[in-house]
Amino acid sequence: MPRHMPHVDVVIVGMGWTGAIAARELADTGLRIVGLERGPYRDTIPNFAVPNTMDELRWSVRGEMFQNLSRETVTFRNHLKQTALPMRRLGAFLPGEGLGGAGVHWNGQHWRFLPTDFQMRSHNEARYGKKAIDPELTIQDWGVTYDELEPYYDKFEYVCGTSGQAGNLKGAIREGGNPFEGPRSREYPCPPLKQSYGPRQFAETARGMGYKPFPQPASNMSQDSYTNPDGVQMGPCTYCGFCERFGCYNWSKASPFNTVLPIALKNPNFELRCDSHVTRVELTPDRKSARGVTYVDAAGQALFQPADLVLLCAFQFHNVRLMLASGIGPGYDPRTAKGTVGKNFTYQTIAYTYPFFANKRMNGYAGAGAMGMTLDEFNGDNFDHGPHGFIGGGYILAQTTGARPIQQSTLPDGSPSWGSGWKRALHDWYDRSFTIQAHGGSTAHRANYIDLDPTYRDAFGVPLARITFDFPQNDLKMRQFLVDKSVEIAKAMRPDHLKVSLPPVPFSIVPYQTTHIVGGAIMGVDRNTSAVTTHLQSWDVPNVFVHGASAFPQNAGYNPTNTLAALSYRSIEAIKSKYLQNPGTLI
Amino acid sequence: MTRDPDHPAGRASRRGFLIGGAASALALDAGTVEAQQATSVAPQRPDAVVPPGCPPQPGQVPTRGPQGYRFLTNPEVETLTAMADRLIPADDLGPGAVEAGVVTFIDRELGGQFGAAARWYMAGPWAEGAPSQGWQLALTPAQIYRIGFLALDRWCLGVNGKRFVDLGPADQDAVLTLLEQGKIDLDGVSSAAFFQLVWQNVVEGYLADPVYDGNRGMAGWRLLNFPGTNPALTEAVALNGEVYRIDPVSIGA
Repeated sequence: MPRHMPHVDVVIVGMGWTGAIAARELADTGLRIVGLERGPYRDTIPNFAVPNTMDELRWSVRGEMFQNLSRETVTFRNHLKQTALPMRRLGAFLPGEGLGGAGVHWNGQHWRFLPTDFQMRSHNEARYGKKAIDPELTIQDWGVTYDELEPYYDKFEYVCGTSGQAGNLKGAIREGGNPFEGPRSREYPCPPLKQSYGPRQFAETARGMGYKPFPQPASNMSQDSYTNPDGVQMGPCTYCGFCERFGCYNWSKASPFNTVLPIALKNPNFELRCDSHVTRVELTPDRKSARGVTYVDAAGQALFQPADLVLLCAFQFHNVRLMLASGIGPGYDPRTAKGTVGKNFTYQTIAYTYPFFANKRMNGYAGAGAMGMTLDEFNGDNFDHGPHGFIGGGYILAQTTGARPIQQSTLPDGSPSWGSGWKRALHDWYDRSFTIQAHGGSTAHRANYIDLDPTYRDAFGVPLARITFDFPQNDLKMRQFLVDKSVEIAKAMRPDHLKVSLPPVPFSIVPYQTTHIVGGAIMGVDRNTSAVTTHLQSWDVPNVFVHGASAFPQNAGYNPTNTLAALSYRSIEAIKSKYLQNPGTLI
Repeated sequence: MTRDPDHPAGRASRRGFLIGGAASALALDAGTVEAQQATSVAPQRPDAVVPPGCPPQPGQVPTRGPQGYRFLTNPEVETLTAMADRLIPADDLGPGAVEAGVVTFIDRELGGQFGAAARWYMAGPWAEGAPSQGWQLALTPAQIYRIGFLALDRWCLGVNGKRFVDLGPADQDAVLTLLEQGKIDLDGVSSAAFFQLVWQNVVEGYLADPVYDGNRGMAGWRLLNFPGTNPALTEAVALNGEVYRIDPVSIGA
């Protein structure tokens, strides 16, 4: 029998971006709030101070700040006929653990989705006809529009001091920005980052080919300083090249530490409990209301935290697993396509092209997570898909996030794999290339989903989440299209070598691709086809709200953070303005 | 200490001195270490030391073994040193893996969290799975080294009549290639997985921060002109293809 803790109004499960945003936004309500974080307490100082944060082996290779798989992982298979096996070592994606969550080791790539991304089904059907969409694809509209989300996108960009250049200011297309983006209500809070040699050359070549390259929106601070609307300060990015997979030493990359957490933690009604691992949301016998959550503390004690309102703000598959393990909503069954929780697990479709220049140093170690020059001509529905036989798309990004020697030393194809020849190749080709990344969306497929594994359990005895996923044919066609475009531009730069690197098909859990795994607790306007409302409220248990990328019905061709944050702001605003006065399902 | 007539003298003696001590390796050359061992033990007990490999008689003490390694056994140190020397050799471009301290690095890693697979999911049941499902071995990295090195020496003795360490460089390269291609059975461990683990760790020891006892003198970073932990690199962003020269800095340096 778990020990009962004193009752609170709100319990937040997970203190990454969405949990920290929720704690910040609820601070002025006077509600008693507890935030439960499964990982340790940490902060910029002392945990990510220089020089120890610039340690490739510790953070990036050994993954000290990522999820500790010895306690919990996921199981994985490509299709229903396979037996899923545990992801024993980290690979394709890198969930975070500890205060700030994956918001500490992200890159700061701060994108808005396109207006048409939110009408993925209705827009594509209207433009290309129902027959143009593979019947196995279970893509859906989001139930919100870009215009509804714009104020929240804007808010999060100003909270993070995002750098960039508007391409569409209130409908007016502006030179130097992304001409395809939805209208924004004001400029970015900060000007674009500096760009390094490779991406500058890429942009010049692309411009010559008629494209409109623009600086990638970046929550890496481009100015000497910035104070956000809450009075929290950021420091200048010094292009140290230890951004993705690392904590930022200089308060330059926006993370919960230098944006929303300082405000949340000042609230005397907010209590943060780290090393507190939630195992279950406890429901009333009719399963229509949550009573609170059970969690295990650092000493291994089980505790029950009663609460009127439960916000699930854990990483994508943890949210889905907690819902399934707790009986919140009907689990999805791929054979019948009925049920909602676990449905539409999607990813991101990535490919890399590397142009090499024998006599040029890229100085790629002078990198930042989100610096780079981007083309959006082939993203979403920014081009006519008529002749191509697929829907969706992605951006093409020339970037230098760093040149960390163990993991970012890219050698030309045919280089010896070890020995003196390898050493010579490393000497000759290190830092002579940069990355052109095709960053494609991911369409939902009937057979890609999450449920509970029948065999494997975590250290607390809870079944692991089982991911069943492979790339839909639609997305592989899209990937090849994006690679062809990337190669065309790279060739026009006249490199000495050109290397193309495609993640394996079928999808493999082994090579890192991206941490943008989404879906499984998807939002929508129909309780038969979505797990949560457009306010992220469970259709079945209305005092549970489920935040994060788990709400995406499918993935767009952009990085997810800005969109999942915008959805959280919108949800919390609805909780404050409507739900607290009259608890029940918000429509 | 094993001497190999096929090896050039310099290579054999370098291997010898590294086995003689992990921590002090860079400061001394081979002759010094051997002389030091001889003077520290021999004069006091002229008859007490038994030859290597022989059980001591009453009144005798065993030969003093290599010092300074936490996890690796003496034969493992010999094999790993020989392997690392072929995987990243010393040449006109600079020091190789052995000179950079990779053997000590790997010893420390195997004796710590990495060797114990402390952050991997290691609960059964175990199945081979499809390649897309990734690593499904029930062994920790430390166990893979232990099993793999024993099995490799047995294989080499069976095929060549010599341990790996006693083969000439060309034969060692041929064995490494077979390992890489997964063509040697290592007591049930895939030799490709074994090779990839060793290769990954050798590269790590060559290029990780020297705080982990490898990359001595920042040799790996100097080969690349990698600036290490210099955090302020803003001025390098503006360059147009020319190299940004800056002395590397390591953690604690």
